[in-house]
Amino acid sequence: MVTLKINNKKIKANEGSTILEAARANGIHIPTLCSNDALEAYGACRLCIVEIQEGKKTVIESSCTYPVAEGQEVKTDSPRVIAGRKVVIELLLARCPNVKVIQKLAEEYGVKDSSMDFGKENEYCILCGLCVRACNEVVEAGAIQFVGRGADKVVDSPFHISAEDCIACGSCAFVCPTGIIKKNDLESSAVCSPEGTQEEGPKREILNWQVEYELKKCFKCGNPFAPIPHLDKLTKRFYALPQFFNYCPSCRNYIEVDEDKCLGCGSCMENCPVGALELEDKGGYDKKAKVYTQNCMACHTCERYCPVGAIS
Amino acid sequence: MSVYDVAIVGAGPAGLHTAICSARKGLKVVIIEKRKDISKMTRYCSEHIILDEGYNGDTMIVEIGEELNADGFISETSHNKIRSKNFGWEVDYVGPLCPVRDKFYYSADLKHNAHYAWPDKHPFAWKYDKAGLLAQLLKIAEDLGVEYLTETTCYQAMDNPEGVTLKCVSRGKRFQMKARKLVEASGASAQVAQSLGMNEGRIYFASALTRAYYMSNVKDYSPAEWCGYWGLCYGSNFAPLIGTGPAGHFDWADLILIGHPAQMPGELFEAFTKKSPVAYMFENAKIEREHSCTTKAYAPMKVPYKGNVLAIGDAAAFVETQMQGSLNCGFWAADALEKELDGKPGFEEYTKTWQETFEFNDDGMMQVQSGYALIPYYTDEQVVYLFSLLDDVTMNGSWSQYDSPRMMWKEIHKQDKRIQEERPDVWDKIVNQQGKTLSDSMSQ
Repeated sequence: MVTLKINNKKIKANEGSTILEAARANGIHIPTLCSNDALEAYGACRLCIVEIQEGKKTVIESSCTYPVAEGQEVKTDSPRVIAGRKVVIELLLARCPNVKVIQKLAEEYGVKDSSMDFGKENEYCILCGLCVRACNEVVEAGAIQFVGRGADKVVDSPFHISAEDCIACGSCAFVCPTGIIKKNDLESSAVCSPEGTQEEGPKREILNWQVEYELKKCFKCGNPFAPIPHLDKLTKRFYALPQFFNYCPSCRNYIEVDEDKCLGCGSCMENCPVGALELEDKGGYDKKAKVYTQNCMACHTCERYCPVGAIS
Repeated sequence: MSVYDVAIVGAGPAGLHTAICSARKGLKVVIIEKRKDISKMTRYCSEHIILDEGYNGDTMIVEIGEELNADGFISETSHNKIRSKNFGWEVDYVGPLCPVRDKFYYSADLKHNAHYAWPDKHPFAWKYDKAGLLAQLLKIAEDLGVEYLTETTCYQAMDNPEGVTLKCVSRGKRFQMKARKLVEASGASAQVAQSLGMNEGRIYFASALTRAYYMSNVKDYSPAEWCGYWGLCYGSNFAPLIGTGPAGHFDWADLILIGHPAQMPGELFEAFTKKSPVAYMFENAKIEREHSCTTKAYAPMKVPYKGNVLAIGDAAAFVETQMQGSLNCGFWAADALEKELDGKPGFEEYTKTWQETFEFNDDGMMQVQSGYALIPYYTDEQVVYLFSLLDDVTMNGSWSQYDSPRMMWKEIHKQDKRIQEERPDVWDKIVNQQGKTLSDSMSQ
């Protein structure tokens, strides 16, 4: 543990954590655009800059990338910090005048319309990289990347064609602070051809990466709930059984064992992919299956393999 | 941190024999077993030592310690020895044995049947006490210093070049374990192999939901017989079987019903004991004990190892490796492990032996399954006709699930001309039967 001061408040923080983490853990607000708890710090938006005094040296640094150290004195809203943040917001506003998050920040910090002009019309992307990082770090799909350099830098699918590795999970749209990633879940769609019009099932399309995939329907309620490639990827990555995603999250029922029917053969236990079932000894040849629901992922594999129909 | 040389998942015959043979070579071994007490069988097993010459590439020799008693059994105190003829290992077994001398496949009218027996009626299989044998093997293993974890499930393994990390759960608590080599011996379910992707590319036939009833006072029951009943009138697509009762109660009949999710074995019981032609046998019968199990029938793995993981016994095979096949696997696995830990390609050698030895590794063998897909492909009357062709024949005593149907069809095909003349409808079906498998009988 190290001790530091943030806005004259004494704070203890874990060694190796960043100033942003320490501030947030103690309820001190620092505005950010490119930070997300699930992702590595990136330091792209520069909004989280703070003034850090270490000994005699004072620096302005992005708090999301700067590690805490013993005896630091941090100011999150000193005049120098506010001035710097205003410049950042002004630049962002000049690039993306129509983005709500930026407009809100500008209002908060009293930034008027920027006089700068980057010659870009209808630009929404602030290049925070959240979508790219989520796709690479969390989803591990690697479907999209930054393309180009300098003023031409954009986020795109490879070669600006349909993203091959995209699984349409929608994580990019979820993390994007500007809302420019367009993810639509369509109840039905149709394909027109000379042979006639063919109805196609529920689909998800992500316009930015030029992909569309069929959505899987829940076996129980029939509602579409996730794109099939997304489920395939999760199945493979977490070694789940193919039937694990047959049910949507709200229809997923944990299993119950009917002890009167159970003969204690252990077929459920042997086929459970997460070891959530065990046999309870009741003396003699009598053994009953017992479920540890904290481990059960409600895949109902055991139900399929129970020879006496004791699991429901 | 020191790690185990070998972790074995599953304390069945294959796992325990691997543990014993490896420990004798000085390896540090741990066994992970899901059950609390393996000396109590809760999962159903037919429990036979099969003596067929060359069955699963080996011939078992059972040296009985005592003579048959007045009931025709070998008593519980007998010190027997189970030996492999081809590979030279032996295992001591103290416990009861019951000889199986006749095998009948009955058709709907009970008169016509396929009969397997040796001319001098010497047994082709021994019913034994599997739980007792496992307990004895476990004792040997523990005496050799093998560590034994009960009530522990290994549900996933991660393979690295340095070794294998096992993810385990015991009584709801999760933990990890490291070993240099992993032996997957957890039977047909083989969760660990599945999690490592070793099951990819295997053909899945069906999951047999099996329920067995040990019943006393069954009429016309003989402990030395193994009977199957083919016909829709018996209620099931897969023949209900009546075999020898459990160790200690050889006088009970063992009624085995195999179903699938659309035809649960519990429902088959009603049909078989109340409405079928053999209902008379069960008029005064009483259910003494019930058992069940589910077996997943997969085609064998092409290669039974991947990285540091070796799958043995039923985990790598076409369901029924049987006790002797498992013991063989364990014996070879120990050799392979010793070599692998020395940096030599032991698993490759194991694979070679394994592929050459077991019958089910032959592609043509999968076709043999069509011998078990009689129902509902043939009507009851057609099965009666087919079996009537075998009236004058007694085939050699054989338990083998590969040889038995092959022998039967060989005999039937001797009379091809007669079938073509008498029953063109049956002949048509025989011609088209090629390629039928268990999945056709037990499709879900």
